[in-house]
Amino acid sequence: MNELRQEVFKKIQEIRTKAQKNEEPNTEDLKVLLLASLMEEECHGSKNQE
Amino acid sequence: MEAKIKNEEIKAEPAQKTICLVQLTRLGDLIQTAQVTKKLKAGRDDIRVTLVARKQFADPLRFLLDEVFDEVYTLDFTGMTNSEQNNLEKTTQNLQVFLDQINTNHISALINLSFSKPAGYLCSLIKADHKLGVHYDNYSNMVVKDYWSQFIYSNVLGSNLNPFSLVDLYANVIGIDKNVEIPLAKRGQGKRILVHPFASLSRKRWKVSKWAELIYKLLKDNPELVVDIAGGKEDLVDVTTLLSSPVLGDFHKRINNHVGKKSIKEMYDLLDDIDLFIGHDSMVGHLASFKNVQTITVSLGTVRPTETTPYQAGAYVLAPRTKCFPCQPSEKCELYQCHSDISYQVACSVVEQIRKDGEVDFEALSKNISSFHLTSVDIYRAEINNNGNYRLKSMTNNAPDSKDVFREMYRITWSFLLDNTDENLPYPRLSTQSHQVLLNSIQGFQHLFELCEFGKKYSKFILQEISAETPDIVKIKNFSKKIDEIDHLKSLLVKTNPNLAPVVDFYKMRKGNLQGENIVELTENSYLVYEECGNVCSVMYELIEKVIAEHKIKSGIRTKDKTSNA
Repeated sequence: MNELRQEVFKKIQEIRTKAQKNEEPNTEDLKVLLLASLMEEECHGSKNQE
Repeated sequence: MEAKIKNEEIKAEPAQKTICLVQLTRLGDLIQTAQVTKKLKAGRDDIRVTLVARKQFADPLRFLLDEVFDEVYTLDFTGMTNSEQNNLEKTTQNLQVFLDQINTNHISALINLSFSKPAGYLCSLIKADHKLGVHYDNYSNMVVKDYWSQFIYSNVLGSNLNPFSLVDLYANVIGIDKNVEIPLAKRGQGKRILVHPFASLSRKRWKVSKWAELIYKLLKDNPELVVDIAGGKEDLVDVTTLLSSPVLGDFHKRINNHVGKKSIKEMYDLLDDIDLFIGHDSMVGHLASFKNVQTITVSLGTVRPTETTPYQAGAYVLAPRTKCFPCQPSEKCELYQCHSDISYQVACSVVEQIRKDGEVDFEALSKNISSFHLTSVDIYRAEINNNGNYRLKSMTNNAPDSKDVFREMYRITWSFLLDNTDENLPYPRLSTQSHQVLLNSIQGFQHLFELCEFGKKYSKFILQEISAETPDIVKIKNFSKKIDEIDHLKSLLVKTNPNLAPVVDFYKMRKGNLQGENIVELTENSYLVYEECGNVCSVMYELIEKVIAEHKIKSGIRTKDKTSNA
């Protein structure tokens, strides 16, 4: 899971750089954003349970 | 030949159109979504309704969802990431497989009913002719096009002055007739009561000892009564504490403990034998309303009764009159004053009255219970009005607090402006405190109206400058800056007048989602948003004036009576 997190994090940085250049994100980027938001939600969920 | 080609090009419309609902939030929201879908499908053979939900919430409710939806797609994030090759490529492939399943069928309308980031991104990846609710555009900007989704986003998630039930709001987003499929509570006069004394957060539930007192009193006063206790595995410790309470020692034979023993499906089946439900705001209450079992909800902490009370005509709610109720999840609280403000004696008397007469009579209640207990609690009964809107009606003689007064006025205003319907509600009674709050707010609405007029003025200046022969870009920029200042002032106004938040937040949302391809269209729409916001201010201003005038007339009558008596 940690490896996946790191990959997602790296990809998000790339998407941000693209956005700064005013480039449209593609479908693959949207999938990464979805995964990142799911990870974020899961992390908050487990924090709440604690 | 040409005609033949044309005929081949025209694709046949599918016999049934597919509406796909996205609901990624928890069990209670899924049940409420199922309730809306029942309304949507009533008498409609021409539509298929599919659901996209999280696996961990949809699986336990599969028995109910399969009954209502034509197809259910479950998003299993854990399953997607638990493959042997746990990397981004494999996970996105798994995600694509899931998306392909949904995209196999042509979707006419995709409606996002959950207001979270994942749901928004997911909706961007699903193909559909029309999309409602939150989704993201090609530049990853959040888009919410329709009025009612904008309303939910700004009012349900923001302030606590939303006057509508979530089921009605979902129905408004989808655009369906609310008058169909309204569950009606059976009169809870039998001998079996289902108690659900648990909730996800400690601030939303009474201490176990209070429930023990309530169950003890009910069992002691009603020798024929049997109490069933519901709960999940996470409630096992609490139920052991509850049942080991000394006061319940003699009643174990009349208590059926189902905590941690029954699945949700088994609990749903058990509801066939239950006459009355009492518990905190949770999924069990929503399940009971699905089976038309009379419900009584004890609302505490962050629970907003107007939004989440089980959707059922005749449902009862006990809510504390604590000043800070309902609180925000982020607010810290050690005291839980709202827990003390609802006494178990009140809850017990409400149960007794419903069992005896099928309804609550406040006059009779006030004879049995000390006013000390009754003045700190509100008792509401849910009713459905002519427009099919769900509303909680107060059953006590307590004057509503200022938040309740504002909710009622906003109900009239939003229904009129967004739904084109009239809500006929009685004038609310004002206490000295709520009278003062209204007087303060009236100025706030006046200021907000003036700001909207300025917004219109500068939008008009921009349009005039654009239509000039040689438009001056510096002038346009300066007007645009003025508009930014106006929007900033609107936000500042909310800090001094929190009751204006629903209006300011809603129109901020509308402005953030302006439609238009160029500066002219955007400015024209910006003008219209200021116009709409000004209209809300006018309606609210007029309503407040009338409520205050009515209050003064009533106070005047009382003064006259006193004089004549003297």
